[in-house]
Amino acid sequence: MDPLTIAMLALMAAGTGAQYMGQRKVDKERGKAMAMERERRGKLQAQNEASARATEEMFAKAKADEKAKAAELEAQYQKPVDAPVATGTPGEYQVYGAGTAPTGSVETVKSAEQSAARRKTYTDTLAKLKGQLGAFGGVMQDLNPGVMRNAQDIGLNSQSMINWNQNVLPLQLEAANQSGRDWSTAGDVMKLAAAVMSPWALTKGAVTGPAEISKAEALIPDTGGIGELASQSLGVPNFAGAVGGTGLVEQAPVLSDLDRIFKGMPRGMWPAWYKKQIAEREMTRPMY
Amino acid sequence: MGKSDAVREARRAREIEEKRAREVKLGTQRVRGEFAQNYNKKYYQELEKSGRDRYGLELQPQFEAARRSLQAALMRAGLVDSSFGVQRGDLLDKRKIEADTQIEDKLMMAKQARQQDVIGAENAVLTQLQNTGDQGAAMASAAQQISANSAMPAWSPLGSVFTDFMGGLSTQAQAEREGNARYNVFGRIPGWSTGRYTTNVKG
Repeated sequence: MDPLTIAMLALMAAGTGAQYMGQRKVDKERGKAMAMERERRGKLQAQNEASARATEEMFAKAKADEKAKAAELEAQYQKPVDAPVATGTPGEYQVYGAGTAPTGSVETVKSAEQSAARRKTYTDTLAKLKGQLGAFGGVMQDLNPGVMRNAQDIGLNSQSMINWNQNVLPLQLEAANQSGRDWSTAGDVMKLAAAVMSPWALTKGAVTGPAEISKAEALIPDTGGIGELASQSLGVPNFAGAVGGTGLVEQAPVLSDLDRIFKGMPRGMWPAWYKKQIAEREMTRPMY
Repeated sequence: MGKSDAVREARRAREIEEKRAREVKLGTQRVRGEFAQNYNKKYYQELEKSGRDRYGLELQPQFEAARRSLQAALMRAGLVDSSFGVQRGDLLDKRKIEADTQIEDKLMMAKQARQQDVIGAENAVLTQLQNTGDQGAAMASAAQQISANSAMPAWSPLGSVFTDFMGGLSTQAQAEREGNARYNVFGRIPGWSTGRYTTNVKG
């Protein structure tokens, strides 16, 4: 095999290797960025779960608190009832209340005492019912600030997560994407060099020189136009028009070699000029 | 964007976001501390006391007036020392108990409304802090909110509690003035049958 061919192939292989290394570095950096993100997200998630658990615990012991709250409210609603006394001061403008009874009548005082007892029962019952009725709402009201704060904490963490995902993570991933750029550029350069070398490396023109090749190829339009390729790549004029049809065939291009090499590679690795050539060949292929 | 530019931008964005998160965290603690300091148990006790004093001033004179009116009406009717008098007094006291209960309801509602307002105000300040990341602005806003919620509630008037009760006594007094109210003079003395009446109060 021609040394130039070997060099070209080596360059292509090195280019592919460099691009692989570049991609590997990108993958590694992206992985690192995502691992940090996962860790951060995990911490926030744990904090949110702790807040939610705290709320849950508060509600769990609400039932026990309800009893105490009912007693507290009962005491708040309880009002003292004046008890009548058996002797009063005649002429004082009070039926009863404020420690006095109407007069000295035993029956009246007895009646007032019964009335006071009934009133006491009424007051006590009312206070108790009010306490029971308001206990649930009271406990919920007392829990409200704590519940609200836990919800705020969860909201703060969620917002922090959103901000991070919007403002920081994309830039970190971009930086990770750029991390393999050196390798990638080196790979591109090597492939470009290999592409430039290929007309010489893959034909006999490598020995005889590009001008002669192109002269020869220009006279063989059906071969796929290696001469045209060479002239496109190197800027050498294609003098097919000038000498067309004169039969100056000196060297046939070794298209089969070219096809054999490139068709053994993934299409993505074909140089642009070869892709173009293939496309043109397909366009000009006769239909039967 | 070049490789080093990308790294620099990512670092800057991270630093800015971390700084912002620190500000929000510290600010949240400060705002909550400020609210907790201003709206503590003592504050709510004072709020209740303010309402109780306010309603006490309104209810107590009404109650005293009603009791005196009842006393006078019973005396005019000669029923000071009577079961009827006790019943009327009982009714008056019941009205008073209901009014007291109503006052406690009002106090509780006012306290709960204030608690809700405070929670809402704190939440508003923290939302602002979260959006701006500006601790100073959040503290200024917290001070404003605390100031707005520091005044005692405007207690709604209790109104005339004993109107119905007094109405009956007024009717009695009017009937007496017109000589239409008749009272059994010795009805309560054993052996003295009914049929002897007096209109003992006139004018």
